[in-house]
Order: sequence, then C-alpha cells, then structure tokens
Amino acid sequence: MQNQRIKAAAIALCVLALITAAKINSAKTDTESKPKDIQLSSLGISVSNQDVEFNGAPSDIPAYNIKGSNYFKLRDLAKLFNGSTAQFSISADDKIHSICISKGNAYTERGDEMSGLSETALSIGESPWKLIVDGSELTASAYSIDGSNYYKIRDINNALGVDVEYNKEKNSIELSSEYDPVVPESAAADPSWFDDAAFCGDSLSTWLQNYAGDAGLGNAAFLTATSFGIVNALGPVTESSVHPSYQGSKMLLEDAIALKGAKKVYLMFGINDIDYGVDEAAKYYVELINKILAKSPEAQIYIESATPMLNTSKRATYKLNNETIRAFNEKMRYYCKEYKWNYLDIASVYADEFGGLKADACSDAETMGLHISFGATAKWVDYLRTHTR
Amino acid sequence: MKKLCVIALTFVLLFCACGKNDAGSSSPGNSGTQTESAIEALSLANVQEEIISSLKITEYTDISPERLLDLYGIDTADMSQSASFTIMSGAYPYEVVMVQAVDKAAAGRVSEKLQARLADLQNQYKDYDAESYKMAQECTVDTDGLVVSLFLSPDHGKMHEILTSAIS
Repeated sequence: MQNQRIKAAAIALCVLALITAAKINSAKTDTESKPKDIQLSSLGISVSNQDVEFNGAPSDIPAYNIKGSNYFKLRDLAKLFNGSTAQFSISADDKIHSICISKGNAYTERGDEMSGLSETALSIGESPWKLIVDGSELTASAYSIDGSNYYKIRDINNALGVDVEYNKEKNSIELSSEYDPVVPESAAADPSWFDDAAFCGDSLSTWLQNYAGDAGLGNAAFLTATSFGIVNALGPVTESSVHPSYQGSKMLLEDAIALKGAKKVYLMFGINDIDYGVDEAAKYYVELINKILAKSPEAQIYIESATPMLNTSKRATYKLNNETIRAFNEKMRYYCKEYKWNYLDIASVYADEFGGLKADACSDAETMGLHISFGATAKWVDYLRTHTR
Repeated sequence: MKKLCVIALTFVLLFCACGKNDAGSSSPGNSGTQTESAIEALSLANVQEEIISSLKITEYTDISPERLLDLYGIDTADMSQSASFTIMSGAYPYEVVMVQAVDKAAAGRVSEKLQARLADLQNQYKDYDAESYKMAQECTVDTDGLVVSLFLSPDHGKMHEILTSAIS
C-alpha cells in the first residue's frame, strides 16, 4: 500500500515537472524576440494606405493590401460594426476548426482590436480556419499572418450585410451597413417631432387626427379620406373624386404635402387598392411616392404597413384578405429597402396569433371588420412615437 | 249707433295694427336685431356642453379654433367664437362644427367651407359605406344669423335643436 502511494506521488511529481518545463519553453518562445524575417512586400503584401470609413465616419481600422485587395481582421471589423445593423459576435469552434460569426449579436471587445500592422512577419500562409456565418460556411479568401486571420473584405461583406465602395478621389474604402428599412424602437419622441409631418391614408388613418397636439402627434397635417386609395391619389381632382382636403380645399396629396411643407411623410394605403393585385398596387404606391418626392424632395418617407382585417371580416374576398395584405406589406418593405425609405410595422401592433386583426381593436366587427377603434389607435400613436429616425 | 260702430271699428283696427306690429317682429329686419342680441349672449362652448350631456356623448375630442384652418379651411379672422369636436364612437369620426362669424360675409365664407366638407364626406361614403352615406345625406350646413353649423352625426337633428334653442 505504501509502495503504491510512493509510486503515485512520483508520477504526480513527474507530470508536474513536465508541465512546468512545457510552460517555461512556451514562455521562452513568446518572449524571445525572434527576428521577423519575412518581408511582406516581397510577397506583394503591404499595410494598406487607404483610409476606411464606416457609415460615413472615418475609422482607424488597419488592413493589409494583398495583391490589390484589402484584407481585414474579423475582430477589428466586429469592433467597427458594433452598434450598427451589421454588428456580429465571434467565437471559435476548435472541434471543427472554425471561426463562427453570429450576426446581430453585439461583439465583446478583447482589447487587442485595431492594433497596428507590421510590414514584416514571422509566419504567413493561407488560413486553415473555416468561416461559418450564422451556421453556414462561407468561402472567402483569407490569410493567417502571425497567427491572426485576415479576410478579403469583398468576399465577406455581403454575408455581413455591408456595402463596400472604393472612393477614387479620396483613395478610401467606404463601408456601410446594409440599409434596414424597418425603423427600430427608439425613445419616445416629443409631440413637436411631428410638427413637420403629414399623415396620409384612407379611413383607417382618420383617427390619428384625434391624437394631434399634446396627445402625441403635435401639429402634423392629416391628409386622409374615407375610401381614399393610391389609385384615387394618382387621379385628377374633380368634383366627384376622392382626395383629402387641406385648409378647406380638396387637392392632390403631393400638393397638400408641399403646402404643409412636410419633411416627414407617413403613408398607410393598401386596403382600397389590393383589389388591383398586390404587385400592381405596390407599383402604383411607388409611383405616388415619387410624385410626392418630386414636389417635396427633402421629405423622409415612412411607409406604415397596412393593418390586417378580422379573420371573419365580411370585406374579405379572394383578392383582399389577410394573406394578400401580408404580401402587399412585404412588397412595400422590399421597395423601402430598395429606395431607402422607412418601414413601420404597424400591422404587428394589431395582429393576433393567426395574423388577423385583434377583435378588441376593431370598431366595425359587425360590418367591415377592418377599422381600428379610436381607443385602440392609441397603440398606433405610441408605436409612431417610439419608432423614429 | 253708427258712431259706436266707428269707434268700435277704430279700436278693432288699432288692436289689429298693434297685433300686426307684434307679429312683425318675425320680419327679417326686426328678427335680425333680436337674434343678433340673443347671439351676442350666446356661448357656443355652453352649447357644446349641452349637446354632450344631453346626448350622453362620452368619447369626444375638442377641435381648437386654430385647427379649423387645417381641417376645414376656416380662418380664425372670420370667427368671433367657435366650438367644435369630433365624436369617436363609430368607425369614423362624427364631426360637430359651430362657428359664430364676425359678420355676414364671414358667415358666408364659413358656410361655403363647411358645405364643401359635407360634400366631400358624402362623396367619400357614396360607394363605400351605405349607412354613413345615408346619414351624411341627411345632414346639412345651417346658418342661424351669424352662427354656422355642421352636425355630421346620426343625432344631427337633436344637436341643431339644442343650438337653435340656445340662439332663441
């Protein structure tokens, strides 16, 4: 028994000695200042002399220029993109020898990001690590220089949701996070924020004017009319036409907006137009917005998604129903992204678990089954106030 | 006897003449004076309160005189007082607008704006909501002296009665 104890103690001592020796060797390797004998320029690599901007702001992110292309360290990019729509976190999965990126997650800094680059290196080679973005492998040109991985920006920018432009005049690289039209939640805006706003729409939007002033929407203009639609708005004003009135005169929407001098134009249309077909109605919508912008070029456009109807609505037809409303909203969200307009998902405020209008928000359940009551409109106003850009 | 008849006839004629003078107070000129003096004492805010309490209206929002320009095109310079509100009990707002104009010409302008508003709403409801269209068709813009009103509500008749009794 005593022999066994002695044996065990001896083995433990040997293991400890081996570990200590290994640590000392490792420390020596780290601390010994080996000469960096690889001149990167001899391999066509140099520290990039181009300035880099992200979303219009200058940054000090370093990059290598390798054979004419810019290569960045992922951790530097993660730090740069933090807080933007392109933010991502990084983890390493040793089992599959992969670097994993999770888009949308905030990056926790390590402290060594954005450090300067050297023109010489101890080691260089193609990166042996796989790059996984949100679970999918991404093929990208990458080099490992002194143990750090540098990725070709034009191979990874799309996957990261970032646009890359080269500005020849400034000799700079302009990175911008891909435009997300959905306006994120923000602190509640003061009612005066809406003083230069115009709310345009059909009967669904008529209650908004009752929330003017201190009730939430300040001194906005309310250009709404029952049975008003995109197609009406594109037509001429006649005695029998349906157009909103502003200051006592019926006029074209674009003229009323210009007369108000609105800088923020909120639009909710769809219910009276989806009968023309989702794609057609959406095209007409874009045409209307372009007319508005032609007369008010500085206006910011806010498209409010069309709200759903009761699942039992008597107005529902094979052309107008909650599915076509959703399809129409998706189409408009797409156009918002393309034209850099803002998209407000008002429909989400009122949709029940089946995607229909919540019964307690409806003011005409027995007839049309699609109008929102005055009381329930308060949530809409709250959403508007807490989703501004 | 003849003398008596003449005297009696004279009395009758005098009496009739006096009676005619009383009835004459409803002639446009005289009635204007009386109505105008009644209107001078009129408070449209009180009329609004009376409408709201009599008809048990619980959900409503006041429309300030300044907003009448944006909503109806009514200039504050044309008004000596106003009381307006929207009622929120239906699918769309019901509208109550009462304006006392500064003079006849201003009353004409206010009436014109409200007529245009009513015509717009009738037009909007026409092929969309039969019930609202019928209601809007029954509504009118009324001018009582210098007071111009639009009651766009299923209770427009009662509302107008309350206003006219306050004026008289």
